[in-house]
Amino acid sequence: MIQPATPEADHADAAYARRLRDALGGLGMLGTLAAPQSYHQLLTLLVRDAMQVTRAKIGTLRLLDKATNELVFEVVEGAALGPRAVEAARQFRVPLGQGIAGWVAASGQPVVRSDLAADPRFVAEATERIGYVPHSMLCLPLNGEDGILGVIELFDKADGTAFTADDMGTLGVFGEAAAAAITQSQVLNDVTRLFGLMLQRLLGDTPDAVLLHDHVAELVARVVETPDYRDAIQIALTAGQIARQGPEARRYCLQVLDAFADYLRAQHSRATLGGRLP
Amino acid sequence: MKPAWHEAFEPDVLQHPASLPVLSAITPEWAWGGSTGRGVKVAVLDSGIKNTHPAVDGAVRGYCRVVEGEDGQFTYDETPHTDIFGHGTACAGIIHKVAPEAELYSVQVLKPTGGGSGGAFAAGLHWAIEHGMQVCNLSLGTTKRDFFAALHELADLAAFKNIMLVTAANNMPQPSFPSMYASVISVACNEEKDPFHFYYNPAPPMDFGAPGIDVQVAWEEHDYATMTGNSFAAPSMTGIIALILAKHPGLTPFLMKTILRTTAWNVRLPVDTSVAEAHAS
Repeated sequence: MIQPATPEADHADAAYARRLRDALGGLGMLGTLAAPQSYHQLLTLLVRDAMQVTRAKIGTLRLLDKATNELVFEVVEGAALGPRAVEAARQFRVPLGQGIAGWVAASGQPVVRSDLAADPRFVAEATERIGYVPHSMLCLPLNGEDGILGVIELFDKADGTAFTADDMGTLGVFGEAAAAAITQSQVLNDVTRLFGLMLQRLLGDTPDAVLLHDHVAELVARVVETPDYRDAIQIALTAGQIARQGPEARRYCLQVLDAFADYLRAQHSRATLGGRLP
Repeated sequence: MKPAWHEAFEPDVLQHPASLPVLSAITPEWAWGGSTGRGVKVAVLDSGIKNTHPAVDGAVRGYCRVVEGEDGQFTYDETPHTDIFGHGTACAGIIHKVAPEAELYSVQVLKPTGGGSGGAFAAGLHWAIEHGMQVCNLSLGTTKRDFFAALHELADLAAFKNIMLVTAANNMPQPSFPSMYASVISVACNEEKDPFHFYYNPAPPMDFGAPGIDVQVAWEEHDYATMTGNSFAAPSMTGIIALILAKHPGLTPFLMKTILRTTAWNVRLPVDTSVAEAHAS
Protein backbone atom coordinates (compact mmCIF):
# COMPACT_ATOMS: atom_id res chain seq x y z
CA MET A 1 0.00 0.00 0.00
CA ILE A 2 1.30 3.46 -0.93
CA GLN A 3 1.76 5.67 2.13
CA PRO A 4 0.62 9.33 1.95
CA ALA A 5 3.49 11.81 2.05
CA THR A 6 3.37 13.15 5.58
CA PRO A 7 6.11 14.50 7.88
CA GLU A 8 5.77 11.27 9.85
CA ALA A 9 6.27 9.19 6.70
CA ASP A 10 9.34 11.25 5.74
CA HIS A 11 10.77 10.71 9.18
CA ALA A 12 10.10 6.96 8.93
CA ASP A 13 11.80 6.88 5.51
CA ALA A 14 14.86 8.65 6.89
CA ALA A 15 15.03 6.28 9.85
CA TYR A 16 14.64 3.32 7.52
CA ALA A 17 17.41 4.63 5.24
CA ARG A 18 19.69 5.01 8.25
CA ARG A 19 18.99 1.48 9.47
CA LEU A 20 19.53 0.15 5.96
CA ARG A 21 22.87 1.93 5.77
CA ASP A 22 23.90 0.49 9.11
CA ALA A 23 22.93 -3.00 8.03
CA LEU A 24 24.80 -2.72 4.74
CA GLY A 25 27.79 -1.29 6.57
CA GLY A 26 27.67 -4.33 8.82
CA LEU A 27 27.58 -6.58 5.79
CA GLY A 28 30.55 -4.79 4.28
CA MET A 29 32.42 -5.31 7.54
CA LEU A 30 31.50 -8.97 7.43
CA GLY A 31 33.19 -9.23 4.03
CA THR A 32 36.25 -7.33 5.21
CA LEU A 33 36.59 -9.46 8.32
CA ALA A 34 36.30 -12.65 6.33
CA ALA A 35 39.10 -11.47 4.04
CA PRO A 36 42.55 -12.84 4.85
CA GLN A 37 43.70 -9.32 5.65
CA SER A 38 42.25 -5.88 5.16
CA TYR A 39 43.28 -4.62 1.75
CA HIS A 40 45.67 -1.94 2.97
CA GLN A 41 47.20 -4.29 5.54
CA LEU A 42 47.82 -6.80 2.76
CA LEU A 43 49.56 -4.22 0.56
CA THR A 44 51.68 -2.97 3.47
CA LEU A 45 52.70 -6.52 4.35
CA LEU A 46 53.74 -7.17 0.76
CA VAL A 47 55.98 -4.10 0.69
CA ARG A 48 57.53 -4.93 4.08
CA ASP A 49 58.23 -8.51 2.94
CA ALA A 50 59.84 -7.26 -0.29
CA MET A 51 61.98 -4.82 1.71
CA GLN A 52 63.04 -7.57 4.09
CA VAL A 53 63.95 -9.98 1.30
CA THR A 54 66.18 -7.43 -0.45
CA ARG A 55 67.22 -5.45 2.67
CA ALA A 56 65.87 -2.29 1.04
CA LYS A 57 65.63 0.92 3.06
CA ILE A 58 62.53 2.25 1.33
CA GLY A 59 59.67 0.42 -0.33
CA THR A 60 56.57 1.63 -2.13
CA LEU A 61 53.64 0.05 -3.86
CA ARG A 62 51.65 1.84 -6.51
CA LEU A 63 48.48 0.52 -8.05
CA LEU A 64 47.14 1.36 -11.47
CA ASP A 65 44.06 3.56 -11.45
CA LYS A 66 42.40 2.22 -14.59
CA ALA A 67 40.07 5.20 -14.88
CA THR A 68 42.91 7.70 -15.25
CA ASN A 69 45.77 5.38 -16.29
CA GLU A 70 47.87 6.69 -13.45
CA LEU A 71 50.01 4.87 -10.93
CA VAL A 72 48.86 5.87 -7.46
CA PHE A 73 50.85 5.33 -4.25
CA GLU A 74 49.10 2.96 -1.87
CA VAL A 75 52.00 2.17 0.47
CA VAL A 76 55.16 4.10 1.30
CA GLU A 77 57.40 2.45 3.91
CA GLY A 78 60.86 3.28 5.20
CA ALA A 79 62.48 4.62 8.33
CA ALA A 80 64.64 6.89 6.15
CA LEU A 81 61.54 8.93 5.34
CA GLY A 82 59.77 11.24 7.74
CA PRO A 83 55.96 11.32 8.02
CA ARG A 84 55.79 14.45 5.85
CA ALA A 85 57.77 12.77 3.10
CA VAL A 86 55.48 9.74 3.24
CA GLU A 87 52.45 12.01 2.93
CA ALA A 88 54.07 13.97 0.05
CA ALA A 89 54.84 10.74 -1.80
CA ARG A 90 51.26 9.52 -1.34
CA GLN A 91 49.93 12.60 -3.16
CA PHE A 92 52.07 11.83 -6.19
CA ARG A 93 50.39 10.34 -9.25
CA VAL A 94 52.38 9.29 -12.30
CA PRO A 95 50.83 8.80 -15.73
CA LEU A 96 51.49 5.30 -17.05
CA GLY A 97 54.57 5.23 -19.25
CA GLN A 98 56.40 8.03 -17.42
CA GLY A 99 59.50 7.49 -15.33
CA ILE A 100 60.93 4.11 -14.45
CA ALA A 101 57.77 2.91 -12.67
CA GLY A 102 55.69 3.83 -15.68
CA TRP A 103 58.18 2.11 -17.97
CA VAL A 104 58.14 -1.09 -15.91
CA ALA A 105 54.34 -1.06 -15.70
CA ALA A 106 54.00 -0.59 -19.44
CA SER A 107 56.59 -3.23 -20.43
CA GLY A 108 55.77 -5.72 -17.65
CA GLN A 109 59.51 -6.32 -17.07
CA PRO A 110 61.45 -5.41 -13.92
CA VAL A 111 64.54 -3.21 -14.06
CA VAL A 112 67.27 -2.09 -11.73
CA ARG A 113 68.65 1.40 -12.05
CA SER A 114 71.89 2.03 -10.22
CA ASP A 115 72.75 5.63 -11.05
CA LEU A 116 69.77 7.57 -9.73
CA ALA A 117 71.95 10.15 -8.02
CA ALA A 118 73.55 10.98 -11.39
CA ASP A 119 70.20 11.99 -12.90
CA PRO A 120 69.74 15.71 -12.19
CA ARG A 121 66.01 15.63 -12.92
CA PHE A 122 65.43 12.72 -10.54
CA VAL A 123 67.61 14.30 -7.84
CA ALA A 124 65.69 17.58 -8.04
CA GLU A 125 62.33 15.83 -7.89
CA ALA A 126 63.28 13.47 -5.03
CA THR A 127 64.82 16.31 -3.01
CA GLU A 128 61.75 18.48 -3.42
CA ARG A 129 59.18 15.79 -2.71
CA ILE A 130 60.69 13.59 -0.05
CA GLY A 131 63.94 15.25 1.00
CA TYR A 132 65.92 12.09 0.30
CA VAL A 133 67.87 11.09 -2.80
CA PRO A 134 68.16 7.31 -3.29
CA HIS A 135 71.06 5.86 -5.29
CA SER A 136 69.74 2.53 -6.45
CA MET A 137 66.28 1.32 -7.36
CA LEU A 138 64.62 -1.97 -8.18
CA CYS A 139 61.23 -1.70 -9.82
CA LEU A 140 59.06 -4.78 -10.16
CA PRO A 141 55.79 -5.08 -12.09
CA LEU A 142 52.77 -6.74 -10.50
CA ASN A 143 51.36 -8.63 -13.46
CA GLY A 144 47.73 -9.67 -13.08
CA GLU A 145 45.74 -12.05 -15.24
CA ASP A 146 44.26 -9.18 -17.25
CA GLY A 147 47.21 -6.83 -17.36
CA ILE A 148 49.30 -4.81 -14.99
CA LEU A 149 48.04 -4.22 -11.43
CA GLY A 150 50.81 -1.90 -10.32
CA VAL A 151 54.48 -1.81 -9.34
CA ILE A 152 56.63 -2.33 -6.26
CA GLU A 153 59.66 -0.04 -6.00
CA LEU A 154 62.55 -0.61 -3.64
CA PHE A 155 65.26 1.97 -2.95
CA ASP A 156 68.78 1.62 -1.51
CA LYS A 157 70.03 -1.52 0.17
CA ALA A 158 70.93 -1.26 3.83
CA ASP A 159 74.58 -2.17 3.16
CA GLY A 160 74.93 0.61 0.57
CA THR A 161 75.43 -1.73 -2.41
CA ALA A 162 73.25 -1.51 -5.52
CA PHE A 163 70.45 -3.96 -6.28
CA THR A 164 71.58 -6.93 -8.36
CA ALA A 165 70.17 -9.29 -10.95
CA ASP A 166 69.89 -11.80 -8.07
CA ASP A 167 67.58 -9.44 -6.19
CA MET A 168 65.53 -9.12 -9.35
CA GLY A 169 65.26 -12.91 -9.68
CA THR A 170 64.24 -13.36 -6.04
CA LEU A 171 61.73 -10.54 -6.21
CA GLY A 172 60.32 -11.97 -9.44
CA VAL A 173 59.07 -15.00 -7.53
CA PHE A 174 57.71 -12.77 -4.80
CA GLY A 175 55.99 -10.47 -7.32
CA GLU A 176 53.99 -13.33 -8.77
CA ALA A 177 52.61 -14.30 -5.34
CA ALA A 178 52.00 -10.64 -4.46
CA ALA A 179 50.01 -10.04 -7.65
CA ALA A 180 47.89 -13.14 -6.96
CA ALA A 181 47.17 -11.98 -3.39
CA ILE A 182 46.18 -8.50 -4.59
CA THR A 183 43.89 -9.94 -7.27
CA GLN A 184 42.19 -12.23 -4.74
CA SER A 185 41.69 -9.37 -2.33
CA GLN A 186 40.29 -7.10 -5.07
CA VAL A 187 37.88 -9.83 -6.17
CA LEU A 188 36.66 -10.28 -2.60
CA ASN A 189 36.09 -6.54 -2.24
CA ASP A 190 34.18 -6.46 -5.52
CA VAL A 191 32.01 -9.41 -4.50
CA THR A 192 31.20 -7.78 -1.17
CA ARG A 193 30.26 -4.53 -2.90
CA LEU A 194 28.17 -6.36 -5.48
CA PHE A 195 26.37 -8.29 -2.76
CA GLY A 196 25.62 -5.03 -0.91
CA LEU A 197 24.26 -3.40 -4.06
CA MET A 198 22.07 -6.39 -4.87
CA LEU A 199 20.69 -6.44 -1.37
CA GLN A 200 20.03 -2.71 -1.49
CA ARG A 201 18.07 -3.19 -4.70
CA LEU A 202 16.14 -6.11 -3.24
CA LEU A 203 15.33 -4.22 -0.06
CA GLY A 204 14.27 -1.14 -1.98
CA ASP A 205 11.74 -3.02 -4.08
CA THR A 206 10.25 -5.27 -1.43
CA PRO A 207 7.07 -4.16 0.31
CA ASP A 208 8.13 -5.53 3.69
CA ALA A 209 11.61 -4.10 3.33
CA VAL A 210 11.79 -2.96 6.95
CA LEU A 211 11.18 -6.51 8.14
CA LEU A 212 13.85 -7.86 5.81
CA HIS A 213 16.23 -5.13 6.92
CA ASP A 214 15.70 -6.00 10.55
CA HIS A 215 16.40 -9.63 9.79
CA VAL A 216 19.62 -8.73 7.99
CA ALA A 217 20.78 -6.44 10.77
CA GLU A 218 20.02 -9.11 13.36
CA LEU A 219 21.76 -11.77 11.30
CA VAL A 220 24.89 -9.62 10.93
CA ALA A 221 25.02 -8.88 14.65
CA ARG A 222 24.43 -12.50 15.58
CA VAL A 223 26.88 -13.98 13.10
CA VAL A 224 29.73 -11.64 14.04
CA GLU A 225 29.32 -12.54 17.71
CA THR A 226 29.12 -16.32 17.34
CA PRO A 227 32.15 -18.47 18.22
CA ASP A 228 31.56 -20.44 15.00
CA TYR A 229 32.06 -17.30 12.96
CA ARG A 230 35.17 -16.35 14.90
CA ASP A 231 36.55 -19.84 14.17
CA ALA A 232 35.68 -19.35 10.49
CA ILE A 233 37.62 -16.09 10.46
CA GLN A 234 40.59 -17.85 12.03
CA ILE A 235 40.44 -20.53 9.33
CA ALA A 236 40.23 -17.82 6.67
CA LEU A 237 43.24 -16.00 8.17
CA THR A 238 45.32 -19.19 8.23
CA ALA A 239 44.26 -20.07 4.68
CA GLY A 240 45.15 -16.51 3.66
CA GLN A 241 48.64 -16.87 5.11
CA ILE A 242 49.11 -20.10 3.16
CA ALA A 243 47.65 -18.54 -0.01
CA ARG A 244 50.29 -15.83 0.06
CA GLN A 245 53.03 -18.47 -0.24
CA GLY A 246 52.12 -19.02 -3.92
CA PRO A 247 50.18 -21.36 -6.21
CA GLU A 248 51.95 -24.52 -5.04
CA ALA A 249 51.18 -23.83 -1.39
CA ARG A 250 47.56 -23.08 -2.32
CA ARG A 251 47.29 -26.41 -4.16
CA TYR A 252 48.72 -28.38 -1.21
CA CYS A 253 46.45 -26.51 1.19
CA LEU A 254 43.41 -27.40 -0.94
CA GLN A 255 44.51 -31.03 -1.16
CA VAL A 256 44.86 -31.27 2.62
CA LEU A 257 41.53 -29.55 3.22
CA ASP A 258 39.76 -31.69 0.61
CA ALA A 259 41.19 -34.86 2.16
CA PHE A 260 40.02 -33.73 5.59
CA ALA A 261 36.57 -32.88 4.22
CA ASP A 262 36.38 -36.34 2.59
CA TYR A 263 37.34 -37.92 5.90
CA LEU A 264 34.64 -35.97 7.74
CA ARG A 265 32.06 -36.90 5.11
CA ALA A 266 33.06 -40.57 5.42
CA GLN A 267 32.76 -40.38 9.21
CA HIS A 268 29.35 -38.78 8.80
CA SER A 269 28.23 -41.57 6.43
CA ARG A 270 29.37 -44.23 8.89
CA ALA A 271 27.55 -42.52 11.71
CA THR A 272 24.44 -42.28 9.55
CA LEU A 273 24.66 -45.94 8.60
CA GLY A 274 25.01 -46.90 12.26
CA GLY A 275 28.31 -48.70 11.91
CA ARG A 276 27.03 -51.07 9.23
CA LEU A 277 30.09 -50.47 7.03
CA PRO A 278 33.28 -52.50 7.51
CA MET B 1 62.19 -21.37 -5.68
CA LYS B 2 63.10 -21.29 -9.36
CA PRO B 3 66.46 -19.73 -10.12
CA ALA B 4 66.57 -16.60 -12.21
CA TRP B 5 67.82 -17.34 -15.70
CA HIS B 6 71.00 -15.31 -15.34
CA GLU B 7 72.24 -17.58 -12.55
CA ALA B 8 73.39 -20.07 -15.20
CA PHE B 9 76.09 -17.53 -16.11
CA GLU B 10 77.53 -16.90 -12.68
CA PRO B 11 81.24 -17.82 -12.49
CA ASP B 12 80.86 -20.75 -10.11
CA VAL B 13 78.12 -22.46 -12.15
CA LEU B 14 79.02 -21.38 -15.69
CA GLN B 15 79.49 -24.41 -17.93
CA HIS B 16 82.12 -24.64 -20.63
CA PRO B 17 80.67 -26.97 -23.27
CA ALA B 18 83.30 -28.55 -25.52
CA SER B 19 83.78 -26.94 -28.90
CA LEU B 20 83.24 -29.23 -31.89
CA PRO B 21 86.57 -29.72 -33.71
CA VAL B 22 84.90 -29.91 -37.13
CA LEU B 23 83.59 -26.39 -36.57
CA SER B 24 87.01 -24.95 -35.80
CA ALA B 25 86.89 -22.79 -38.94
CA ILE B 26 84.05 -20.81 -37.35
CA THR B 27 85.87 -18.09 -35.48
CA PRO B 28 84.70 -14.64 -34.36
CA GLU B 29 86.81 -13.17 -37.15
CA TRP B 30 85.09 -15.38 -39.71
CA ALA B 31 81.65 -14.80 -38.18
CA TRP B 32 81.55 -11.01 -37.79
CA GLY B 33 85.06 -9.61 -38.31
CA GLY B 34 84.83 -6.28 -40.17
CA SER B 35 81.03 -6.31 -40.26
CA THR B 36 78.93 -3.31 -39.35
CA GLY B 37 75.57 -4.98 -39.94
CA ARG B 38 75.20 -2.99 -43.14
CA GLY B 39 71.82 -3.38 -44.83
CA VAL B 40 70.39 -5.95 -42.39
CA LYS B 41 66.79 -5.16 -41.55
CA VAL B 42 66.21 -5.31 -37.78
CA ALA B 43 62.73 -4.84 -36.32
CA VAL B 44 62.36 -3.70 -32.73
CA LEU B 45 58.94 -4.73 -31.45
CA ASP B 46 58.43 -2.47 -28.49
CA SER B 47 57.20 0.98 -27.43
CA GLY B 48 58.58 2.68 -30.58
CA ILE B 49 62.00 4.18 -31.27
CA LYS B 50 62.99 7.81 -30.81
CA ASN B 51 65.04 8.24 -33.96
CA THR B 52 66.56 11.54 -32.80
CA HIS B 53 68.10 10.14 -29.62
CA PRO B 54 71.90 10.21 -30.01
CA ALA B 55 72.06 6.50 -29.11
CA VAL B 56 69.98 5.70 -32.21
CA ASP B 57 71.41 8.46 -34.36
CA GLY B 58 68.85 8.33 -37.16
CA ALA B 59 69.22 4.60 -37.89
CA VAL B 60 65.45 4.01 -38.16
CA ARG B 61 64.41 3.22 -41.75
CA GLY B 62 60.74 2.39 -41.28
CA TYR B 63 57.83 2.38 -38.88
CA CYS B 64 54.75 0.34 -38.10
CA ARG B 65 52.31 1.15 -35.32
CA VAL B 66 49.84 -1.59 -34.53
CA VAL B 67 46.40 -0.05 -33.99
CA GLU B 68 43.61 -2.02 -32.37
CA GLY B 69 40.19 -0.94 -33.60
CA GLU B 70 37.04 -0.89 -31.50
CA ASP B 71 35.94 -4.03 -33.32
CA GLY B 72 39.12 -5.79 -32.13
CA GLN B 73 40.67 -5.74 -35.62
CA PHE B 74 44.28 -4.68 -36.01
CA THR B 75 45.53 -2.25 -38.63
CA TYR B 76 49.02 -0.96 -39.38
CA ASP B 77 49.97 2.73 -39.39
CA GLU B 78 53.30 3.11 -41.20
CA THR B 79 53.72 6.84 -40.70
CA PRO B 80 56.68 7.83 -38.49
CA HIS B 81 56.08 7.72 -34.75
CA THR B 82 58.23 8.28 -31.70
CA ASP B 83 58.75 6.25 -28.54
CA ILE B 84 55.88 6.42 -26.08
CA PHE B 85 57.93 5.63 -23.01
CA GLY B 86 61.56 4.92 -23.87
CA HIS B 87 61.92 1.13 -23.61
CA GLY B 88 62.19 0.61 -27.38
CA THR B 89 64.75 3.42 -27.74
CA ALA B 90 66.87 1.87 -24.98
CA CYS B 91 66.88 -1.45 -26.90
CA ALA B 92 67.46 0.20 -30.29
CA GLY B 93 70.42 2.15 -28.89
CA ILE B 94 72.12 -1.09 -27.82
CA ILE B 95 71.57 -2.68 -31.25
CA HIS B 96 72.89 0.43 -33.00
CA LYS B 97 76.01 0.46 -30.84
CA VAL B 98 76.88 -3.14 -31.81
CA ALA B 99 75.72 -2.98 -35.45
CA PRO B 100 75.90 0.71 -36.46
CA GLU B 101 74.89 0.15 -40.10
CA ALA B 102 71.94 -2.17 -39.46
CA GLU B 103 68.62 -0.73 -40.63
CA LEU B 104 66.22 -0.36 -37.73
CA TYR B 105 62.45 -0.66 -38.05
CA SER B 106 60.27 0.52 -35.20
CA VAL B 107 57.26 -1.75 -34.66
CA GLN B 108 55.17 -0.20 -31.91
CA VAL B 109 53.13 -2.88 -30.17
CA LEU B 110 52.93 -1.38 -26.68
CA LYS B 111 50.44 1.29 -25.73
CA PRO B 112 50.92 4.29 -23.43
CA THR B 113 47.86 3.11 -21.53
CA GLY B 114 49.60 0.04 -20.21
CA GLY B 115 51.44 -2.75 -21.95
CA GLY B 116 50.06 -4.17 -25.10
CA SER B 117 47.67 -6.94 -25.78
CA GLY B 118 49.06 -10.30 -26.87
CA GLY B 119 47.03 -9.68 -30.02
CA ALA B 120 48.88 -6.45 -30.83
CA PHE B 121 52.17 -8.23 -30.23
CA ALA B 122 51.19 -11.06 -32.61
CA ALA B 123 50.00 -8.52 -35.20
CA GLY B 124 53.33 -6.66 -34.97
CA LEU B 125 55.25 -9.90 -35.39
CA HIS B 126 53.11 -10.74 -38.41
CA TRP B 127 53.94 -7.35 -39.95
CA ALA B 128 57.68 -7.95 -39.39
CA ILE B 129 57.53 -11.42 -40.99
CA GLU B 130 55.64 -10.11 -44.02
CA HIS B 131 57.85 -7.04 -44.54
CA GLY B 132 61.23 -8.62 -45.08
CA MET B 133 62.69 -8.17 -41.61
CA GLN B 134 65.73 -10.40 -41.03
CA VAL B 135 66.06 -10.05 -37.25
CA CYS B 136 63.37 -9.15 -34.71
CA ASN B 137 64.24 -7.94 -31.23
CA LEU B 138 61.56 -8.97 -28.76
CA SER B 139 62.49 -7.57 -25.36
CA LEU B 140 58.97 -8.34 -24.25
CA GLY B 141 56.53 -11.19 -24.26
CA THR B 142 53.23 -12.30 -22.92
CA THR B 143 52.47 -14.64 -20.05
CA LYS B 144 48.92 -15.23 -21.26
CA ARG B 145 48.40 -18.84 -22.32
CA ASP B 146 45.68 -17.66 -24.73
CA PHE B 147 48.40 -16.50 -27.11
CA PHE B 148 50.57 -19.60 -26.84
CA ALA B 149 49.34 -21.19 -30.08
CA ALA B 150 49.12 -18.01 -32.18
CA LEU B 151 52.62 -16.87 -31.24
CA HIS B 152 54.00 -20.38 -31.65
CA GLU B 153 52.67 -20.51 -35.19
CA LEU B 154 54.20 -17.10 -35.97
CA ALA B 155 57.54 -18.08 -34.42
CA ASP B 156 57.64 -21.21 -36.61
CA LEU B 157 56.66 -19.19 -39.68
CA ALA B 158 59.50 -16.78 -38.94
CA ALA B 159 61.96 -19.68 -38.55
CA PHE B 160 60.84 -21.18 -41.87
CA LYS B 161 61.48 -17.80 -43.52
CA ASN B 162 64.96 -17.57 -41.95
CA ILE B 163 63.96 -14.67 -39.73
CA MET B 164 65.81 -14.60 -36.41
CA LEU B 165 63.57 -13.88 -33.43
CA VAL B 166 65.70 -12.74 -30.51
CA THR B 167 63.74 -12.73 -27.25
CA ALA B 168 64.51 -11.58 -23.74
CA ALA B 169 64.07 -14.41 -21.24
CA ASN B 170 61.35 -13.31 -18.86
CA ASN B 171 62.81 -11.71 -15.74
CA MET B 172 59.79 -13.02 -13.85
CA PRO B 173 59.31 -16.71 -13.04
CA GLN B 174 56.14 -17.13 -15.11
CA PRO B 175 56.62 -18.85 -18.48
CA SER B 176 56.50 -16.16 -21.11
CA PHE B 177 55.99 -16.47 -24.84
CA PRO B 178 57.66 -16.53 -27.30
CA SER B 179 60.88 -16.81 -25.22
CA MET B 180 60.06 -20.43 -24.26
CA TYR B 181 59.87 -21.68 -27.88
CA ALA B 182 62.66 -23.73 -29.47
CA SER B 183 62.44 -21.69 -32.69
CA VAL B 184 63.61 -18.44 -31.08
CA ILE B 185 66.96 -17.25 -29.72
CA SER B 186 66.31 -16.62 -26.03
CA VAL B 187 68.68 -14.36 -24.09
CA ALA B 188 69.25 -13.54 -20.40
CA CYS B 189 71.87 -11.25 -18.92
CA ASN B 190 75.40 -12.23 -17.98
CA GLU B 191 77.89 -10.11 -16.05
CA GLU B 192 80.14 -9.22 -18.97
CA LYS B 193 80.49 -5.69 -20.35
CA ASP B 194 81.70 -6.48 -23.86
CA PRO B 195 78.82 -7.49 -26.19
CA PHE B 196 81.14 -9.97 -27.92
CA HIS B 197 81.56 -11.84 -24.64
CA PHE B 198 78.22 -13.61 -24.90
CA TYR B 199 77.73 -17.04 -23.32
CA TYR B 200 76.05 -20.19 -24.55
CA ASN B 201 73.71 -21.99 -22.15
CA PRO B 202 73.44 -25.76 -22.75
CA ALA B 203 70.26 -25.99 -20.64
CA PRO B 204 67.20 -24.74 -22.57
CA PRO B 205 64.86 -22.90 -22.86
CA MET B 206 67.27 -19.99 -22.43
CA ASP B 207 69.99 -20.14 -25.11
CA PHE B 208 72.48 -17.33 -24.56
CA GLY B 209 73.70 -14.81 -22.01
CA ALA B 210 74.71 -11.28 -23.03
CA PRO B 211 75.57 -8.10 -21.11
CA GLY B 212 72.47 -6.83 -19.32
CA ILE B 213 73.75 -5.82 -15.90
CA ASP B 214 74.51 -2.15 -15.26
CA VAL B 215 74.48 -1.27 -18.95
CA GLN B 216 74.26 2.27 -20.29
CA VAL B 217 70.96 2.68 -22.09
CA ALA B 218 69.27 5.61 -23.82
CA TRP B 219 67.00 7.40 -21.34
CA GLU B 220 64.52 10.21 -21.85
CA GLU B 221 65.38 13.07 -24.20
CA HIS B 222 69.11 12.87 -24.73
CA ASP B 223 70.28 11.15 -21.60
CA TYR B 224 71.57 7.75 -20.60
CA ALA B 225 70.88 5.64 -17.53
CA THR B 226 72.55 2.61 -15.98
CA MET B 227 70.05 -0.24 -15.99
CA THR B 228 69.87 -3.98 -15.37
CA GLY B 229 67.43 -6.34 -17.06
CA ASN B 230 67.11 -9.14 -19.60
CA SER B 231 65.41 -6.56 -21.83
CA PHE B 232 68.87 -5.10 -22.47
CA ALA B 233 70.67 -8.41 -23.01
CA ALA B 234 68.51 -9.41 -26.00
CA PRO B 235 69.39 -6.33 -28.11
CA SER B 236 73.07 -6.98 -27.58
CA MET B 237 72.63 -10.43 -29.21
CA THR B 238 70.40 -8.91 -31.87
CA GLY B 239 73.30 -6.62 -32.81
CA ILE B 240 75.75 -9.55 -33.03
CA ILE B 241 73.29 -11.50 -35.20
CA ALA B 242 72.90 -8.50 -37.52
CA LEU B 243 76.71 -8.36 -37.88
CA ILE B 244 76.84 -12.07 -38.77
CA LEU B 245 73.93 -11.83 -41.24
CA ALA B 246 75.50 -8.87 -43.03
CA LYS B 247 78.60 -10.98 -43.64
CA HIS B 248 76.81 -14.29 -44.30
CA PRO B 249 73.41 -13.63 -45.88
CA GLY B 250 70.87 -16.42 -46.02
CA LEU B 251 71.78 -18.21 -42.79
CA THR B 252 68.99 -20.24 -41.23
CA PRO B 253 68.15 -19.92 -37.51
CA PHE B 254 69.74 -23.32 -36.75
CA LEU B 255 72.96 -22.33 -38.52
CA MET B 256 72.92 -19.03 -36.62
CA LYS B 257 72.59 -20.87 -33.31
CA THR B 258 75.48 -23.13 -34.32
CA ILE B 259 77.68 -20.13 -35.13
CA LEU B 260 76.70 -18.38 -31.90
CA ARG B 261 77.40 -21.51 -29.85
CA THR B 262 80.79 -21.98 -31.50
CA THR B 263 81.83 -18.36 -30.97
CA ALA B 264 80.41 -18.04 -27.45
CA TRP B 265 82.93 -16.80 -24.89
CA ASN B 266 82.47 -19.76 -22.53
CA VAL B 267 82.86 -22.28 -25.40
CA ARG B 268 85.90 -20.59 -26.92
CA LEU B 269 87.62 -20.25 -23.58
CA PRO B 270 86.83 -23.39 -21.64
CA VAL B 271 89.31 -22.37 -18.94
CA ASP B 272 89.69 -19.43 -16.61
CA THR B 273 89.30 -16.45 -18.96
CA SER B 274 91.93 -14.37 -17.22
CA VAL B 275 94.50 -17.11 -17.89
CA ALA B 276 93.42 -17.39 -21.50
CA GLU B 277 93.63 -13.65 -22.00
CA ALA B 278 97.08 -13.57 -20.47
CA HIS B 279 98.21 -16.23 -22.96
CA ALA B 280 96.65 -14.34 -25.83
CA SER B 281 98.52 -11.17 -24.97
